Amino acid sequence: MLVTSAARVTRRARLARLLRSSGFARGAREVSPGATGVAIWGLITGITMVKAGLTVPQALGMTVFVYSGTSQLATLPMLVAGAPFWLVMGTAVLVSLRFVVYSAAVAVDFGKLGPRHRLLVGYLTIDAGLALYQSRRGAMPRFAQRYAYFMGSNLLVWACWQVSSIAGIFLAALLPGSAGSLSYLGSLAVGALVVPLLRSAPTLGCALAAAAVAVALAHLPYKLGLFAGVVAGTAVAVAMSRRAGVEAAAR
Amino acid sequence: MSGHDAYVWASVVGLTLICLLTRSAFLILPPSLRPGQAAEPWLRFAPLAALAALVAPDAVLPALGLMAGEGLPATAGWGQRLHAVLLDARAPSAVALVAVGVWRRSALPAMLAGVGCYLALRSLAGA
Repeated sequence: MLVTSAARVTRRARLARLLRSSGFARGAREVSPGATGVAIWGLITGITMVKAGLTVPQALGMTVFVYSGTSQLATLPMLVAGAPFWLVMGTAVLVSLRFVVYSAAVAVDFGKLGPRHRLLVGYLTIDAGLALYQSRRGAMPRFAQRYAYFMGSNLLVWACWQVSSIAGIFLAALLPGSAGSLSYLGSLAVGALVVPLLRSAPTLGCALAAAAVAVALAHLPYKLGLFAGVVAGTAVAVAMSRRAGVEAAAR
Repeated sequence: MSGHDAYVWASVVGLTLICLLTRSAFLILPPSLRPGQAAEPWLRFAPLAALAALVAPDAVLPALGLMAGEGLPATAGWGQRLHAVLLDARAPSAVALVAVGVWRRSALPAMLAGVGCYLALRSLAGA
């Protein structure tokens, strides 16, 4: 009993020190321009989930536990249509594979933390915060600074996402248009995430090949067209980036 | 709780585990189970391919069907077919989204253009 309360006091003291540290404030400050975008995106995701046909508690569960706009939006039309469970999970795995690459970057600095702490770091790792952290960590030689910066930036992004998403979920009830009539909004939201990623020849080839194969094979059962599209797009992109790498090395 | 309710909640649990485990892969997996360097480009590109393959049929197939005359009177000419594609709103709003996305290089303006176009065309169609 005494031990647990003592542990709690140390934990609280450590948390207070983290929140007061300059790295924490700096992370929050430097992520704030991006956090505005995250907030608007969260609002749209919240509205879309309810308008596509999820109930308010289901949409809240997605926002708080899943905490990944891309996975939520990508599986939304399937969930609403009642697609097979394994198909929903398979799609979620495919769109989440990029997180594995992110986790490799994060593990360089935070791989030595305790197990629960590592899961927290994993949960907080998302697209918006990671690019910023990667570009700044070199300027912070000490672990404590890096940790405070990571927490400051990612907790602000987390808070912006949660507040705006939850606002969107409750706002959806006030907006016109019956639930279920607007599931195409989810597809539009995913499309909007894809287009800005097309910055290089391999990414463009990837998206075009995947889209063309998925459309051509859309009549096949079990969404085989989707999976064929993923394989085709990824193979095209890997081949193109390898060739680009070879050419760059030759120059 | 209806069957569909239970299915959505099971999906919430599944998505939570998938997102948490992929984001924590290198933080929790022993080194021997971690994907190697060779897997990196595949892991990087597969999600983009999945997202493109996921949305392209939603946007393109209804328009292809209408242009082929499906669901329209047999006498419908190209003008009427194109009109039907416009009122269906899915393909035109995807075009607006891609155009603005390429122009502004940002997700948010693209999303607003796509949604604005979709809602405007649907209200024109009286849906």
